[in-house]
Amino acid sequence: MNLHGLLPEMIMLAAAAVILLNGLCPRESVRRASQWLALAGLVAAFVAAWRLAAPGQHAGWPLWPLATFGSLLASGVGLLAVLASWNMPFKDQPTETDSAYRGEYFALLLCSLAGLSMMAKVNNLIWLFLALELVSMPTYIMVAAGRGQSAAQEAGVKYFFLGALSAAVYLFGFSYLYGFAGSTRFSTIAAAFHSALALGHPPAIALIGLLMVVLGISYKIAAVPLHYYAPDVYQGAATPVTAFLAFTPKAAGFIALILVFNLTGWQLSSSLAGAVPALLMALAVVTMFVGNVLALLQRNLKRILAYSSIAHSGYMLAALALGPALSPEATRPGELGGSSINGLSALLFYLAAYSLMTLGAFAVLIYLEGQTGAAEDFDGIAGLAGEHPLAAGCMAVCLFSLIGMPGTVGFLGKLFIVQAALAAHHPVLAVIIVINAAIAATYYLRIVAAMYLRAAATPLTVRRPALALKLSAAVATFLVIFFGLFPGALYRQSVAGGRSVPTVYSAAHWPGRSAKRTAVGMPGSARAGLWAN
Amino acid sequence: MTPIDFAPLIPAFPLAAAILAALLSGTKLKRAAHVPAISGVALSFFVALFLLLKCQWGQAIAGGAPYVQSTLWTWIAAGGFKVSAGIFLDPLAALFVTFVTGVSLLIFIYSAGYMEGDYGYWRFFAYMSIFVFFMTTLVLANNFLLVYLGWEGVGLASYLLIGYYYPRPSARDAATKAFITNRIGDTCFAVAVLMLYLTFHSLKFSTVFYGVLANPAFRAAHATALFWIPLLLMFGAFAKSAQFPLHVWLPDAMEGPTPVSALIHAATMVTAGVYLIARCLPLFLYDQPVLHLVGIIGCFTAFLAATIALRQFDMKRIWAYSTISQLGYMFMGLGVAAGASAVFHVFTHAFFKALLFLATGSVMHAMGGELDIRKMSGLGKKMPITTVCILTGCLALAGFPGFSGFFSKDDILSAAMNATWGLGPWLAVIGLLTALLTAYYTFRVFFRVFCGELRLPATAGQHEPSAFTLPGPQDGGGNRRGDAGTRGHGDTGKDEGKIAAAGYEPETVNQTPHTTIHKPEIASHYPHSLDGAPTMWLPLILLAIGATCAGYLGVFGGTEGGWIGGFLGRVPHMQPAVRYVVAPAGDMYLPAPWRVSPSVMMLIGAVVSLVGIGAAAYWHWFNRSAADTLAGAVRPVASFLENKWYIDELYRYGLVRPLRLLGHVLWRVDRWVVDGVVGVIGGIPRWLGFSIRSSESGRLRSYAFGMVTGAVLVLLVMWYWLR
Amino acid sequence: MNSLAQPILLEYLALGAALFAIGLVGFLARRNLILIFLSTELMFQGIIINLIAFSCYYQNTAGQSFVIFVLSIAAAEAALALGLVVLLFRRRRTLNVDAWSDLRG
Repeated sequence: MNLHGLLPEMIMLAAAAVILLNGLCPRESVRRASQWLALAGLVAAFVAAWRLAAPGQHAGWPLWPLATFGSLLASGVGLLAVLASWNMPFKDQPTETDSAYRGEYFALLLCSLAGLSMMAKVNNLIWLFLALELVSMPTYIMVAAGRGQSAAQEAGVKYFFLGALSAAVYLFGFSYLYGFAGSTRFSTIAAAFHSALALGHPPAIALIGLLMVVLGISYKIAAVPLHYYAPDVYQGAATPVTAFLAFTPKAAGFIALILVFNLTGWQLSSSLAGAVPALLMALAVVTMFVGNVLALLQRNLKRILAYSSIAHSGYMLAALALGPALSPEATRPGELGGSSINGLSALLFYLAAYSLMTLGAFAVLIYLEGQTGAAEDFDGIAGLAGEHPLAAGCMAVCLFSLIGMPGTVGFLGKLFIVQAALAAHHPVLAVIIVINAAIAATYYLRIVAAMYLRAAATPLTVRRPALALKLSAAVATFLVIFFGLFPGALYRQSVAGGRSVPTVYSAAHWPGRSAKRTAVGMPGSARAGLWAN
Repeated sequence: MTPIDFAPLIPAFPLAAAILAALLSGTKLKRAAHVPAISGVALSFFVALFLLLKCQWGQAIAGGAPYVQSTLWTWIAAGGFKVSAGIFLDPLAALFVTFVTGVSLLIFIYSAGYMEGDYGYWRFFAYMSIFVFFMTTLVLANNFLLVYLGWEGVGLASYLLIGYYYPRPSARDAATKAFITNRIGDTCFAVAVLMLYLTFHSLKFSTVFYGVLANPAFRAAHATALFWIPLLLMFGAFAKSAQFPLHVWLPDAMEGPTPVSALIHAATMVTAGVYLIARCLPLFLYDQPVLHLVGIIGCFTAFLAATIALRQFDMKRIWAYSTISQLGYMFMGLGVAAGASAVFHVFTHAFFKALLFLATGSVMHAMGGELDIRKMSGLGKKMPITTVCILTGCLALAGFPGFSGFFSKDDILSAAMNATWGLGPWLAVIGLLTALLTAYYTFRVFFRVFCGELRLPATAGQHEPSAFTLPGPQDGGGNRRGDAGTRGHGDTGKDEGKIAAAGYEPETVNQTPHTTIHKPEIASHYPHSLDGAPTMWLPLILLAIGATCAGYLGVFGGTEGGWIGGFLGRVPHMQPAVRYVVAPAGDMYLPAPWRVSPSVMMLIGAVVSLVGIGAAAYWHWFNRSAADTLAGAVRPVASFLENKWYIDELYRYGLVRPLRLLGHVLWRVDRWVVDGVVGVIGGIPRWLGFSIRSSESGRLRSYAFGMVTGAVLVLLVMWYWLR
Repeated sequence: MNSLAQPILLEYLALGAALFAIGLVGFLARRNLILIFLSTELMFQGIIINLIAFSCYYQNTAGQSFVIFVLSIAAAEAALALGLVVLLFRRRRTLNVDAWSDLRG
């Protein structure tokens, strides 16, 4: 891959730099241009990513479809996120904007998106580490500084310190993976895993490294057992930041997990290490249940969405555990229906679907905060349908999609995961996903019921929200329905991304692999001997 | 462009009008909702008329083919199942769509005056336009699924418009009743559509009617399906067209505004059943028992409804029963395979029944919502135009020689009399008896209301109270909104319990002065004509002309069956009635011998009509007290008829109550058993949630501890697993 | 060299793991925000020792360059942490982490 392939990230980072400078301008009117710059940068990045996604680009880079999927997702959903946080950051009152820090806010947002965008383009543990931290570090600041309230600072401290802990955990795993392979290059590590798995029993250091990486990154996706922070942080952060958190670190974490498992060649189940996919599935199931049953007890909407975010991570983790293997009977490519979708394609589709629907739901919450102060619990949105029918409609559509109602993109997302589970002969997993969807319907429908069936407790005061905010909610809702009815474009990107992941190890899949750089001075036999026990 | 390419415009205009009228709701222009509605239906009518003329004289249907069809777009494609939306144009469809849009246009114009100032003005026109959209879709569709769409759509529009005055409980109940009754038929229709697809592997008319059906081997192979399909279609048609035993919804449907009764529940929607069977006649012709059942039930319904109409006092209800009765005639015509005659009667009936309803609406308008024929008399002097129009309608309905109903009804009767089917003449005899009753009850209304001394109800000249009036201080003592709901258009004001107690109701109730203004000098408080606005009486006049002249289309302009007979006769199964008989094997077009020649039948029909009118004149104009004496003499019969043969009661005790009891039992089971189980299962997630809620303590260090513990646990589990 | 390297490597790894564990325990046991942050730094030092040890063992520079990036990220985190700690201290006048537990459930 040459630098041309990193064009979207370069555009984003350049835009971030310009915005940072622009935000220093003493004149408010100039500072107000920050959002526009962010928007322009993301549009440019999206166009660049779109061009890079054209067939034939970087043909030698096997994961390129996955990489462009990440770039498109980052810049596309990032656009909606920018629109949703148009008036950010807030002062003490959620309705007052603080334009003095606007430049920083949008610059950080773009940096984080750039990290997500480059996630699937890395080929080295160091790069992976940097990409992950590039995603995370800006969000730490955004959470703490997003709203000048005590809750935001509490959320910030929890998010940051626990995040540092998780970073230490996966970094420890990285160091062991490096120690196992003797190189930080993915190609070398994959080769090492391949030869170790061929012996039947990979060395302990590799498995410990792998597990610690998975555990550490599961913080990013808010999966059990590193999910504890999510509800508090989602609730405490300013709502636009929450919307951003629900999408960016999660997407980055899942792409990183795909990359990490790709190092193992997805062949773990063929050896004694088959316990790792089983563990992943178990974690997925526990994550679903923890998210859903705790969401049942909540009254705060952001907290509900936080727990639901955990639950959705569970679904996606299940898709990840199913891996890239296609069932043998699925031979017709590109056709909707059938069982031609593999776990990773289902994961990518779900990731995009989840981003859209959760962003739409949060955008309505932001809209309401701009309108009413804080509509964070059921009372705050009671009777919403009467006073703001469009907002309520958007919210309802997004919630129905989160439930998985047919006609929405959320339905297709769940459908593909269930299909992949059935195709991989894991009917129990499919049943558990469906049960969880049913549990989840309870609390989503409770929100819908509050909006449509209850009378407003206090009259919702109407102020003028930014047009961009309405636009983000409307566009997200539209896309939820559009991709629910015409999933073609999204489906093709997801399937291309999911299929690009090789299921059989071959040195040809690892470009840039050169024998002379690996394991300098270390004969393979000696290395094998070192980790034999 | 060929003429059929214009056909999609016919449904498109009303649809656009409906959307436009709905969009006007929030604007200041909502009082102008009639403008798009009338324009839309007028444009549709012109297109339809153009198509009809092109079918007759142009080359819309090329070279003697029975039909022409076009495909618009692929509607549904699911695997091998593919349905396209398309147009099927043949003389039957062209005739139907023309009179549907034409009558709609007149009624829309009338409604603009009639509904003026109504609370839901735009809603009314949006619903009416959507009705025309669905009705034209139904008529022009080229496959059964699209017909089904139109079928359900007109049902929906009917439901919405019956319940138009939804603040009134009676309107809501009537709407529900109509909807539920129609569901029975719709379900049958839906099953029939499924069976059609399974049998023919297509839902297109061209494939079903003009394909393998003529092949005896195919018919033998699918004998069972070809028995059930017509039977189910028949039930579908009977529900929509209010035939016994599914007729009970139509009289109650008069709760809707009068133009709705005229358009949907008299002229067009209720004839959709006739259209369906006429369209599917090839299926019926090969399944004679079902066809005969159609004829028998039609004949019986015609008689049943006519007898009930004898002892009703609400004008709209009388016309409703008359509609059921006339629809019975049409089914009788279909039953003797006289498709063209049946459609001819649909055509004339649309004019005179719409006319009767609209004229009744004018009366109602003038009388402040009162419709009881016992409370008014001698209106002819006050409403000259309305009276002339309604007289035309009554003459047509009564089959007075020279008016449209005379020719069309006679056509059906003579077809029945000359049918090869042995029971045909008997149906014709009952039909003649029914015609006698029809003439009597029609003129009973006319002589009572429009002739004799002038007598107006107390509400005359007032604007009828709106169903949407909210109780408020400005209403003062005159607040009419009682707990029983308000009285407005179509409020029958009947007390069912009273009838049951008295056994029968006296024909004259002039003993109650508070409801009746007796004295001419008080009546002269209304010096102006009560005919209403020109938008109301102009359509009446046009319809009156139609009711007078439409019949001649079935007499002149063709050798047999007149112009209509010749035109419809281009559809193979619509050959003029008497020649159209079905031989058991093969050829369907054998000449039949005459039993009674059509001219003799005409003579008999004329005599029957005159006798009926004469009887009505004696009892209800010259010697009204004699009518009470007569009713008293045959009290059980009168009571039986007033209670509509106790069919509603039969349903209530035979069907509704047992079902409700069953529902109650099931509800208990659901409440205690199912809900209990569900409650326990549903409680598990909550219980789980409570049990792990404490993990979210809010303290950073316990979160860290949880994370580390979890991670260590995972590592330990994996360690032992891998060992 | 290999025969020598192996025991030395394992000892270094043990040291790295120990540092990591000490940091972890410190993270869990301490209440003061600054000390908690220092504990994470200790964990990072353990990782760095791992990386350096492997780098020496394999005699390539990948581990060492990794260390440079880890250090710079750790420095960035330190700046972030200090900023955050100052912010929190201004509001509550305490550095006790348990003071910040309003969000829960």
